[in-house]
Amino acid sequence: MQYATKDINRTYLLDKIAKLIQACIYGDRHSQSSLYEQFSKKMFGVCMRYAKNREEAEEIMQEGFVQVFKSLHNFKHAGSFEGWIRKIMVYSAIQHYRTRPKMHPVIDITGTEVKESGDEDILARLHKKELLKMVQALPPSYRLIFNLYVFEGMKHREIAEQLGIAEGTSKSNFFDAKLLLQKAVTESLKISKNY
Amino acid sequence: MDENLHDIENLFHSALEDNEEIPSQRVWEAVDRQLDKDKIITIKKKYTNLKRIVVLLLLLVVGFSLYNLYVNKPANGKLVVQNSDRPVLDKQNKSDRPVDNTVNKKTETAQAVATNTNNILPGSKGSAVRNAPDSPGFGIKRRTGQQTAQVKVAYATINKSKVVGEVIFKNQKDAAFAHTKKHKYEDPLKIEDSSVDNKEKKEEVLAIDFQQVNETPLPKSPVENISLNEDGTTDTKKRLALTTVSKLAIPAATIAMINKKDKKAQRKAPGFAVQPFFSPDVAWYHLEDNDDNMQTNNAGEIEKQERHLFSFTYGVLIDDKISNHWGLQSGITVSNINIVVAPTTIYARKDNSGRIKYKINTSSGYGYVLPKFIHNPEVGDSLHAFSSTHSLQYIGLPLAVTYRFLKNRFGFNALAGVSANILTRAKLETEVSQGINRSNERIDNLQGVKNIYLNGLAGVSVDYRLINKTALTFEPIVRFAINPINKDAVVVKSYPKSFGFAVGLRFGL
Repeated sequence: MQYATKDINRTYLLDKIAKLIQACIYGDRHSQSSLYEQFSKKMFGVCMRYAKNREEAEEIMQEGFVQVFKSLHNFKHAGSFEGWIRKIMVYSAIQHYRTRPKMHPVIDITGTEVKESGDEDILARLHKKELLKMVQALPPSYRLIFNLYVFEGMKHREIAEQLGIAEGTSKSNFFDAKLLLQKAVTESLKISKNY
Repeated sequence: MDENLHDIENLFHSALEDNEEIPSQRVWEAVDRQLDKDKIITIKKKYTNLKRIVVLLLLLVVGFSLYNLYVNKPANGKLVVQNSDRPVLDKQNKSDRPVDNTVNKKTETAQAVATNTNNILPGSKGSAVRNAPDSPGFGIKRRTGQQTAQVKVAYATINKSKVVGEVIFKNQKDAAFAHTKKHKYEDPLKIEDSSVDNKEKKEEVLAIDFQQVNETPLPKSPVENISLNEDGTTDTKKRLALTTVSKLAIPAATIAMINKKDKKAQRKAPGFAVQPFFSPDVAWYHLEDNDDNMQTNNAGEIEKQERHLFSFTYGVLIDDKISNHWGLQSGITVSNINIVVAPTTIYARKDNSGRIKYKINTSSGYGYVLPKFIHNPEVGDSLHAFSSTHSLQYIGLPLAVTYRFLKNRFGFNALAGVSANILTRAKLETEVSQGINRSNERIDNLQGVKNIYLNGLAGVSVDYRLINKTALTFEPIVRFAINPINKDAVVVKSYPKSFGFAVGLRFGL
């Protein structure tokens, strides 16, 4: 009985989204606004990871949503709609990265040693926002590669192809990104311990 | 250390995967504005097409109006036949006045070529006159049976003569109509009656043996000296027309029937024209991002990098006339599109066979090169490509509906249709360099280009008749792709368009 109710709800939601998509394709601004409201929080969370600050994240999301509304007719209803929007947001972030002047990071990653501790323990002591700030503090290329690898589950070969870089460069940048994050986490933990 | 790094990945993944944040209101406002802007652009594009259609229709309407105004207008005073027709009848009508020599000679001519009515219409002798009432038009109705027989005879002669002088015949018809209009309420036979006393002579006049007209040379007369054609020739038809229209006063109903049948015959007549042409084209394209394909280039970037070079189209077109004005146009065309790509950096990718080569993306398709000075490249390695040129060649099979009308020596056409374009060549040439090494690379088969695409055609043309069946044509024409020329694998969807100025010769067959 419970499963049946779930199925009905799921079907209802899918049907609702399908109708919303159709209305958006026809250019109904109210439906577009509804669709934006429905997915903006999740997508902004994604964009925040790819941006260095809130303003940049808003730019990425704005470009992404415009692209979403322009490409809605291409959505085949084969997979998750949320996944499709997310993919566009990630692509928007990549485009955003491409249009910015390339800065090669010069970062000191020596002397980074971290004591072992469980994830849960760290999470208990560090707020999500702190972790997010650590990611945002990464150099653009590192941040992008780290995000694509960790959150999008892409392989280094795919990342290299996507960004037009060598696979080795992707691996190297990812490794450096992790070192930088490790260092940041350690320092943050030290500070919180002192307090 | 590695274990710690692994933990870091998991730590961030678990902490931030479902992270949600509330964006500020200005994001939606910006999206809203952007959507409005795009909507305006779309509307502009939509209206551009509408404007094109309106211009085309306007051209057709103007053309049709011009045709009706000038070409289809009765040729008042243009032909001597018409002018010579009036005095004869007028003078014949006034029997108390003396008939001049011309009239007499014409009458003699008519009499010479006429045969006895009984030979053609047995039993009709004198009946026309006897049955002809005074009321206008009634007599015409009563004589219809006889006239139909005459028309049949006349038609047999006309068809047999195989001489078609469209302009002359048309003017003859106009003259006949003009005459009929002038004498609307007068029975032509009555006019004859007033000038010719002898009833038998009148019936002889009615029952002209057109066969004999055709075969018997006309005696020298002032009428024959009248030049009807531009080349000053006279033929059987002219003689017939001169005899019938100007001299013998065939009833209007008969002439109308002849004209009606003749129009039908003209409509059915096939009219072929062959038109070789050459058209230098102003080419451009409309690019759209291929949303199914998220690769390194996009429409905007490619558009900035590419520039169209000289493009052209040539071929042979065949016009088939299906009615007086409407026709079909088909044939074969060859079009060449040349595009230059600005210097850029290309990256190594796996090609379709799995080998790593350097990929070049263009608006039309993509290709892979592997210069000889590079061995075992890695995915992502880069190479500098100097200015590249890619060219496409298509064989087109057009099918268009044409509307054509003539004015003096000019012919005006409007056409609209589609063309199926079959790809025959898609090549790219470039020069790549790395350090001091350079090499010229050539790709003979660009990948990702469809083998066939459709485009629409719309244009107007004007031709000027140089000699009898040869005309010089000038045809501005717009061609626009209906579907993209690329396959899904290409980063953009390209819709080529061109505006051509075709110049050619038109040979009537």
